[in-house]
Amino acid sequence: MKAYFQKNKLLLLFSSILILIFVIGGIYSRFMTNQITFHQYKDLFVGTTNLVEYTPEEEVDSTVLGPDTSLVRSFKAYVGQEHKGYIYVVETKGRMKGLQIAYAIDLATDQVVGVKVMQSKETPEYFSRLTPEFFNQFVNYDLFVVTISIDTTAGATVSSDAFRVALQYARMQYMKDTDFALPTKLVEVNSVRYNTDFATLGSNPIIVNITDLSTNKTMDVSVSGVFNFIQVLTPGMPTPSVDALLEMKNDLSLNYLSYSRVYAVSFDSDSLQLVVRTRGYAGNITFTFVLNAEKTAIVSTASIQSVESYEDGGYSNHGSVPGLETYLLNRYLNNQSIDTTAGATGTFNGMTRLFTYLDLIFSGNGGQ
Amino acid sequence: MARFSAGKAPFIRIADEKNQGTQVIMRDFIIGLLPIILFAWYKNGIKVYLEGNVSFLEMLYPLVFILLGGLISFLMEGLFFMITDPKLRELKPLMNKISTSFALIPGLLLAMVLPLYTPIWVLIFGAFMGTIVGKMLFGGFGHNIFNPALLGYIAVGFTLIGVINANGGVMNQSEVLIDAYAGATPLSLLANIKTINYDQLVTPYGTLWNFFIGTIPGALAETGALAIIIAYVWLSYRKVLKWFTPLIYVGTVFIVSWVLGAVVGDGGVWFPLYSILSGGLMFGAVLMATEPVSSPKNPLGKVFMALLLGVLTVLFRYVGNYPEGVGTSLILLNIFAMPLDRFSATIRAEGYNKKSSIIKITLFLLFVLAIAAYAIIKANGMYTAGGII
Repeated sequence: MKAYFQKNKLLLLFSSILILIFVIGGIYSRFMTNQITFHQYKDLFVGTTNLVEYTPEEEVDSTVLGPDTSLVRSFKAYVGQEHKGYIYVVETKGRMKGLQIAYAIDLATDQVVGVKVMQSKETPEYFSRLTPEFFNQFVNYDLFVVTISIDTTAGATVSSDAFRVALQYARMQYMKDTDFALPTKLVEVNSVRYNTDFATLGSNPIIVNITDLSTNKTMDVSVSGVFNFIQVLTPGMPTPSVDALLEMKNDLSLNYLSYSRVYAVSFDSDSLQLVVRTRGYAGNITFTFVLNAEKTAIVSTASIQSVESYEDGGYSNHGSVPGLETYLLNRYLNNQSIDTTAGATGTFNGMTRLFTYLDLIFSGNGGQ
Repeated sequence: MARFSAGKAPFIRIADEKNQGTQVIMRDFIIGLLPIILFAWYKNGIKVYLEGNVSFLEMLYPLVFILLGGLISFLMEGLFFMITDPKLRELKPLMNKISTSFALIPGLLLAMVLPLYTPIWVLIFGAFMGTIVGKMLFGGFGHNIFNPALLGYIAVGFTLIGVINANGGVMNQSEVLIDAYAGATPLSLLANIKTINYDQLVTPYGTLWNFFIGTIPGALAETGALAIIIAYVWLSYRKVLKWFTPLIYVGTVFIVSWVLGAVVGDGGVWFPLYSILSGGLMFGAVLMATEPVSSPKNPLGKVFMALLLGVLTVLFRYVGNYPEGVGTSLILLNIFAMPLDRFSATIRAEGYNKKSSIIKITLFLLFVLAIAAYAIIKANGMYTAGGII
């Protein structure tokens, strides 16, 4: 044995050093990985002293929210020895696949306490529109709601909605990992329609038929263009609870968003002035029309207020803002075909929504 | 005594041994690597430490990682010699053998082109693939077909990149905090958004000056263009490499990228600059394309190889599935180094002004142009100049 070691001492020395590098270098490398992981996620949970990555015992069925949404990593966050919460990194699809968002959820409050984009393949031009205000809406977001709803950002609607999907997934995983349960549903939205009665469409632009599940009563209520409750329209029905109305708003924001994209703001029966607001690309476009006495057609356009930006991109040859809106409106009023305006799709869509809405309220009054 | 040393290329005149022998070349090469290694350490260790994002122990890691690469390679080569030749199991004969074998280099270069958070076992695997499979199994230094470091890099890149990403990936502890990076290097960003637009490709990383200095996300030592240029000047001055090979390679990428950008819709000079300062192009051009064993020996062959490398890099980078095209181009051209050598040697032997030589050179250039044209045409259908609402 001694002779063997003597004969092969150099070979054994080299092998030993290599093994030593494998072991000690591996520990060093592991330490570095732990450090960067902690470094990347620690800000999500204020005061966290330790993060432990784990594989959930039961994962959310990855087909529930579509094939593009899945859990990438999950951590338990500790402050000292106390388990404070969870961090879920969910991959989902915005405009592109591979958007990874981390959510930190506090065990004590069941609230989101931090959100961070870990990886994005979204177009920077659009993604940069997600302002700190957008991210701030997640801080202290209470997961104890039936429907998760967030305010999307104009110009980055798809990307921002991906945050809602990812949060929904994170909450589902949180439910698997803890005893957290969703609240009982308080209200059912049965249908939504525009108010076409000129006497009230300014004050009650959108009418929602709901069933208050706590009383099992079905009624019509009116909501504003941003789905805020206005009043109960069905006589004799009690006003649903605040939580029920909040749930209704979330449901409307999620499933009936198109109604908030065009609606009447006011109608003055003396001057016959109708103010309608539609959503363009950069923001709202507000029109003030003067109607005929029968309220079946537009006599003239008193004003157009627009903050569209198609001019900056050179996508309209109809002059400065509101050149394109004026052009499309004139074609509508003259019963001419409305062609898509390449590159100014957002504005075009806003205008076609307006025309559909005008057709609806005029036809409700006997017009065409 | 024979005037030239025997054996396979590269040849060296015995009279020049003291000035340009293997050990001198190795010394000069290591000196050339110093600014790149130091910059990699500064960018991924010292700077991050000064910014307060890592501890002292973490600050040392980039340097330790690179040096470990060299040491692992050295140990593996030593072990290989000792296992295959019992006469080399003593220190002195072993050191004599290793000292003329560039044993450190494959591991050093490999560690420099890997991401910072590559696990050590992956580095060992890459060094094994480079040193043992790529070099020693072919007969050792001077007999390898592939650049050993490159083979290790390709082996790791194609098999274990997921492990590296899961381990922390490419960004250091300061870079992961920069939201604008969104986890992407400049080339992976382009591969994702398929848009050639300054505001979208360069602005998230600052300006092109950051690309030149090297303070952008990327593998350990590949981003330091300035440090690599310093190494290039030194190694050219010391005649360790042929000065024109990197120049033609990078120049070809510059010109083809410029045309590509213009055809797609943005003819600004920023895009070719972005192209040559992103990813591992500079590193590959200076330290890998010039590897004496796995590249053509005669100057015309080197020119041919550099031109082909340029167009293939653009093709693989902008048309292929992976963001980077340097490694794939280099490994491909390693295979064709010998045919290129023969082809160019024939032209030299015939004389450049002979009709047959002119025809051969013309055909070769047309081949290069055809690849460039194909890359540009394909890219034109894949990329936009951005700005669509």
